[in-house]
Amino acid sequence: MSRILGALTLLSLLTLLAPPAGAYVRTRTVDNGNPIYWNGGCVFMVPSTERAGGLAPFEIMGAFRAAASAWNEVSCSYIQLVVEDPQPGLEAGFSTGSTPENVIVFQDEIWPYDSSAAALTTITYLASNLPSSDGEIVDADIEVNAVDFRFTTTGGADRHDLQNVITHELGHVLGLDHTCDDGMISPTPVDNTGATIPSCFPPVSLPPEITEATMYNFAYPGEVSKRSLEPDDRAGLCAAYPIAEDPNVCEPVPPVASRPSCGCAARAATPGAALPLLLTLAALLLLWRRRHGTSL
Amino acid sequence: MRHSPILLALLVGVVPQPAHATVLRGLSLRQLARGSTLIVRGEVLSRSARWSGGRIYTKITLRVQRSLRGKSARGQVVSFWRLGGRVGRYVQMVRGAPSFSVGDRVLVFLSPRAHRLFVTGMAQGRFLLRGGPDPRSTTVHQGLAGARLLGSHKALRGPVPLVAFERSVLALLRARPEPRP
Repeated sequence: MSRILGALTLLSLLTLLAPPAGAYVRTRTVDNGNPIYWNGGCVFMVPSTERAGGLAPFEIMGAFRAAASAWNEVSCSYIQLVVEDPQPGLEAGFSTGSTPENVIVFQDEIWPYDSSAAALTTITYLASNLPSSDGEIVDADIEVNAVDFRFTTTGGADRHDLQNVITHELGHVLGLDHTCDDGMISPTPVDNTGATIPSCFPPVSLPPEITEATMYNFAYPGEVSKRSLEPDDRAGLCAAYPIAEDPNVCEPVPPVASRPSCGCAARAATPGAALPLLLTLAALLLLWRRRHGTSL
Repeated sequence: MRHSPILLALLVGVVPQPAHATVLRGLSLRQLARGSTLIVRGEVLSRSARWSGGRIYTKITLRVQRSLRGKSARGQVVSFWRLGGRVGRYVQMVRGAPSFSVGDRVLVFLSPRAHRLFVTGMAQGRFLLRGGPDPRSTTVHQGLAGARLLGSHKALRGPVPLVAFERSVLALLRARPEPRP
């Protein structure tokens, strides 16, 4: 009995003290610092292949679907990105009164934002005073600047690989953040261990886990290495959407205006986080019972 | 320590090549300065967000302490916009957009778009000031601006003295445009 108790205690303590699988970073809400998340099991992305700066629709769809597959193939996560058939006339933006539509659109006539932005990802989430429902993502749009930038799906050192770009942006859509601090976000984000993420500069001081991750802050024309995920990217996804918590719901986000104003779509607590504590408590209780000879 | 404007332009002005984020093309200090119609230093007085066409924009007002480019006098209030913000229970997050808090002391590069002023180069055109209030003891901070990464992966010098930074900006504005290759 004492061996079992000892092993149980040791196991629980090891679980408590064990280092995390990777140093991933999740995007957090401005007010409470909660990680942002999708409530359902699927995220529907509706692409537009119009105004794509010379790329053929099949090339674009191939890049989008391959980028989504990189995230969908992570076996320890339940979340699925569903790239639907392309539609014409899509526009980025969010409306409270209708079913939110997550779009991927190109702009090759007028880029209404800063010309230094090659792609812009906008995430709309619900803020709440309740930690359990703070940060639910209700809309995410990716806009690609084909006015000032050239994209490719077949390589080329002077062009940006579309799949490389979209794989990274889909990471943001899913609620993941950059792996180092480029000074753009205040306060400096923290990783899954609670530690402030390191400065991006100088890049040579950063470990490969950070610079090789798909969610690393920087990319270069011709780069294709972020088409595929690295261990930290997968760890981040699985922490956000662990397979054990699959809600088994694959539907678009319903209109937000029809919800109660508190945004009460509560999310189940992560059993993974509570498990070590429960094991420890169980072990201590057994030990106490053994020493005091009492029964419940 | 005296900083040469040209050296500062090299140290401060070159940021990493395209940053995903929002994917941003790195702008040099020269590009930031030349691409801006208004360059001002001051204190953030307020920020307010509103919906416009499915997007949230936040209006920031700033009391000018010094103008490096454009017509705005000391004490004048300048307004500009950023993408994203919060309206009621909705928060729109645009990575790469500059963030501002009331009371921040900043130096911003601004340029017009659709009849409104925005920060040039998104977050790249916002520099946070620390120390002071005497400009001689104030430093300029901007993560990306501290780097030099054009291919060679060198650089980063940390905070830059405000006086030297402003001198560098003014020198870049006075300099003749470089001939096209």
